[in-house]
Amino acid sequence: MRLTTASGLDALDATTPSAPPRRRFGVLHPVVAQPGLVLAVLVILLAVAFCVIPGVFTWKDPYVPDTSAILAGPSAAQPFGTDRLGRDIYTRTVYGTVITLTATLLAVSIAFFIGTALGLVAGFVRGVVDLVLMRVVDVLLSVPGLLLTMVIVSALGYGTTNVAVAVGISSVANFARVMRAEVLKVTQADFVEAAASIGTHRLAILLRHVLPNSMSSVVALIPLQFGSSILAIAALGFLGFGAPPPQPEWGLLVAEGRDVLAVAPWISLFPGAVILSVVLASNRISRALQPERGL
Amino acid sequence: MSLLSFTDVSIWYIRRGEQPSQAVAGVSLAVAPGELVTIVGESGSGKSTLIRSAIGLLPANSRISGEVRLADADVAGWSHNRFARYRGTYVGFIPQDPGVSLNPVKPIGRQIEDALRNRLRRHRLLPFGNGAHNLRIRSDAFRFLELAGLSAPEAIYAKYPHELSGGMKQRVLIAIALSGEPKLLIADEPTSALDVTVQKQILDHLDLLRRELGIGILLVTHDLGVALDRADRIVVMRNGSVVEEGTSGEFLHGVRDDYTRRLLDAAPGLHTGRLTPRPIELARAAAGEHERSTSEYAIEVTNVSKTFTTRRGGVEHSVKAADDVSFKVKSGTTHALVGESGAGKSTIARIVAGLTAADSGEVRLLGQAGRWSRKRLSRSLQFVYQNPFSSLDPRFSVADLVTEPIRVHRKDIGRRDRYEIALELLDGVRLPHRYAKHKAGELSGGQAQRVAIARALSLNPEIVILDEAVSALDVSVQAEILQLLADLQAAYSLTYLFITHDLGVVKLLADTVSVLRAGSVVESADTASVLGNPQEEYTKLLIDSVPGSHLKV
Amino acid sequence: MNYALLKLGRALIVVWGAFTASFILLYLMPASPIELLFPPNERASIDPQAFKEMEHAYGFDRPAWQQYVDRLLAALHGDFGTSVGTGQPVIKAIGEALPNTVILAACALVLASLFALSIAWVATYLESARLRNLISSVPPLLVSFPSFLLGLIIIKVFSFQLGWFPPISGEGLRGLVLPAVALAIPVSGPIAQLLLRNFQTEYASPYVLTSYSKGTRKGKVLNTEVLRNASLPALTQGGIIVGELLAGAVITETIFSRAGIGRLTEDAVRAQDVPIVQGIVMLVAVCFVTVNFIVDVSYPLVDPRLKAVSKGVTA
Repeated sequence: MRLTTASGLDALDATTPSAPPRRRFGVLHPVVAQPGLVLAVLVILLAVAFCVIPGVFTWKDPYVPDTSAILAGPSAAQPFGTDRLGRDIYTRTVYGTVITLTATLLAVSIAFFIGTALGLVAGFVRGVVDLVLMRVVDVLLSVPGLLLTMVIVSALGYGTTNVAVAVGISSVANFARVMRAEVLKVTQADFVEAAASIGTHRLAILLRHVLPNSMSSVVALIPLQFGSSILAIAALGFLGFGAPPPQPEWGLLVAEGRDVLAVAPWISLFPGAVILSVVLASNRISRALQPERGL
Repeated sequence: MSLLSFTDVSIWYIRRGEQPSQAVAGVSLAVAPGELVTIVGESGSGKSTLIRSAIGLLPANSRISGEVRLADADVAGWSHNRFARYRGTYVGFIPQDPGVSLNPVKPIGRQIEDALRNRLRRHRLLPFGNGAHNLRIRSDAFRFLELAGLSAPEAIYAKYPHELSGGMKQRVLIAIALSGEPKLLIADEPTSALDVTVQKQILDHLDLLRRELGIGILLVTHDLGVALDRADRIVVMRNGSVVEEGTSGEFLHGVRDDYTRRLLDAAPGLHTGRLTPRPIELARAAAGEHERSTSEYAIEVTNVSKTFTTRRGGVEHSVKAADDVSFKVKSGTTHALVGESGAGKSTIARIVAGLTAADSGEVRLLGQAGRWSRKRLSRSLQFVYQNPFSSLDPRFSVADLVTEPIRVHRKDIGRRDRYEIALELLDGVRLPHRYAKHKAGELSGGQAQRVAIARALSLNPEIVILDEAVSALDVSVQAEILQLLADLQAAYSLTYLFITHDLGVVKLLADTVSVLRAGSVVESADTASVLGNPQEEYTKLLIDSVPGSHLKV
Repeated sequence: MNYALLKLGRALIVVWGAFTASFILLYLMPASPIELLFPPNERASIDPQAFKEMEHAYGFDRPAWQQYVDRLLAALHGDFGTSVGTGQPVIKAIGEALPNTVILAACALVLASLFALSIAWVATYLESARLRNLISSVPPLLVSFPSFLLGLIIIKVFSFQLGWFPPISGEGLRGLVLPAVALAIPVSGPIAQLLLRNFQTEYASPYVLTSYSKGTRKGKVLNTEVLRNASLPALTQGGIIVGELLAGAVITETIFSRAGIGRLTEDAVRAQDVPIVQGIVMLVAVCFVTVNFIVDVSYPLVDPRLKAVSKGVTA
């Protein structure tokens, strides 16, 4: 084995004269060369701004009906059109951002902290603990996300917070699996053995070597889960298990247009497009964070 | 008329958002029928890129200029499918690593028959589902497997690649390359992944094919010894250009280029004596002085055995990695454990280092037997791994890496003092201070291995175990590290246990040597007598297989 | 055989785990499970005395472990109780809804696999970097697309605008087309991503160079060398894919007003029909472990490297 050459069609024998391929986070690296990534970051920043300062982006009220403009199509005054009560869809979408994104943040936090902890313990302690934790993860995986979320919601009751908790629990398995795999990989590395051989305490090895080196894949999973949690929360909202009706939650907005799809498709399509762009953007960011792999 | 000619070939790789990087810069080269031409170069020299252009296997992000002529056609920049009719029939290809170059889920027989079928189909000689034809193809497959030196093709015909040894796999690949009856063979480091004895058999066989079939061979290697042994013409490449070209004789009678000179000096097989240590500016003893032991032997290994057991298909397989191994190492000297893959040399090193427990037998370090605590042991003995990139935490700076043992052992030494010590340690391994803040991933292989050595020395140990510590490095870098090891040994009176598969390296560094095979010691004595006057058949075979060992510079 | 038994044991543990978890969630977590036995709008009018009697009749006043053992034993006999809404045995309600969903899911699975495979194949075959990048960006798009939005768009375009297919899925093939496509597209996203990645890793393997050096053309290299090695690992995702199909059916069947497991789930969750919900959880978990068990046991047969090793290795 020689350290410096890769193999196969992608072997770039000459481009890396002596340094091996570095593990790095793609975002720090020429950002300008990746317009898609720049766009993705802008979309996310815009969504965050919708949450924090919605008043800057619209002067209308998301709840007040306007009888003069019922089911009006998109125009300069109402870029996304209006709904059955004459409420401006654009305004409702802007104000709905905070509902969906807070729930998403809660869901991802739950999944991240519980999942990472489970994976770390399972991968580092091994043995019986690993066996038991992995069976728990198997059980979580055996029921697909949306169904599991619905089951939890039917136990906890409806509402945005409950949906967020449910989505969080249903994604615990993803973090746990990735974290465990990374921990197992890192603990195999020579530098961990080297640290152990000079008498480093086990806990110190875990904190100084294993944890920092296994985090990058898990960190890349965060935006990915962020995207899929938005989808899950919106889907639950669409089915009517999330925020109650007058609220402009994104999934609910799409659902409200369902009955008038034939005559006023914009009611569903524009909020749907907003969901799509935010999810696409977070997936793109996840791909950029991925430690040198794939495309 | 030459079989293959490169005229002023340049190749670039382009990457989005980066400057195109030039891998090959204006190379001209030709191969005639029956000629063996070798391209010698270290990693990054562009040698693999160059020859891949002759078989149309450059990656999609490459750009080529100049002329690559196969027979009557200029094939530079052809698409895969346009190139297909030249591959196999005109030019055969032997890849670098036989371990991964065969499709793992196809039987061997099918893989060579695919090649035969391609050829028949191209000549429209293949009717559908003809039993007689299938028989003919099968007997052809047997014929080529035999031609490649596999004496019992029936036995491996239905086997899968993972059931064969590395050498056999490389022979299958040679059979595939020969199956189109090409006029030219291109071999990309065909033996780098193999043991020396197998390497010799494969290279001998290629030589034989060249003489009997009259095909031209273009062989790429990083080992100047291989080239000097066999090539009609040697081309030395560096950073994408040819720096020197000539016959083996011309090379041995004095080379013009400095770089070639250095390669020649570094080639382990051509070396004669032990390296003489150069004086080193002695750094302050890093983590404080402690008592040096006074025992005559630093390492005494007595009757050590170790068996690894794996379960396959419900049946237990056990491998004797160490079988009643004994040897002694005098303080301040180097003992080499040499052997081919599977000889158990790394296992023994790990047992001595306390990383693996032996089943039976005794290891005495510095005259003391019994169990040592991790901390106590690491103060006297340090281990250097083969791959510095996996043995150095990629998130730590060089300064933190080399002082990590001090941080664990000496809580009383503060951060600032540790940084001072780190700089001294870097001086010791001749690495400039500016690297102190770098991460390991930003270093070259040789620099990273220096850091690993500096770390091993930080606690001022008496014994250092070097497990294939230079074998992943380019020869010229390897030579520098070996010299450094010799210097450090003299300066700090270190005892080395040096594990290697390379007899050339043994000559350079070891005072005594144990030759291992399948877990047992074949021969053990001082280096000069083992290498100069081997008593055992196996040792003779090993010595004989080292490329370039018969040559005199 | 040891290996198969080990896998079977693991499968059973997962099914048992799913039962236990759903029992805790559905029967123990709510403040009063008896409330859940009534449709949400009738709860306020329950007489407290009758409530107590009901609780006793259903056995909810007994210790939790006793209820658990009873339900587990019943479940082993295929008895998951009766639906609160309709009074139908759970197993019967599921049995009636299942065939519709199986047809839908099977069609969607075929469509999704073909679509995903085509994307991966074409993206690897193309030489032009621009086209390749274009095709490679399809799977991330599929993954990011909200499935409910997709269903609505499909109805809007193919029913309302073009009038090719009915917006409400009735009986027969014509009604099956739109739901199957709407279900297949989101499911194909993750499969396509996986296959694309596998195709690219395998295509970068040195044995591909060997195959080229035999004079094989690119299309054939992909078909005879890469295809099998790249698509086999997708089988290990079989359980998850089947789960995705069933979960996707909830959205699809709701949007297209099609009877099936998905609709049953949606109705049961809306009515908090606990026995039905638990029955569906068990159905899904059993599907998941069955598919995974079949894949695990048959995988060594299709991958020669595992034939010798897999048995006895507990990974």
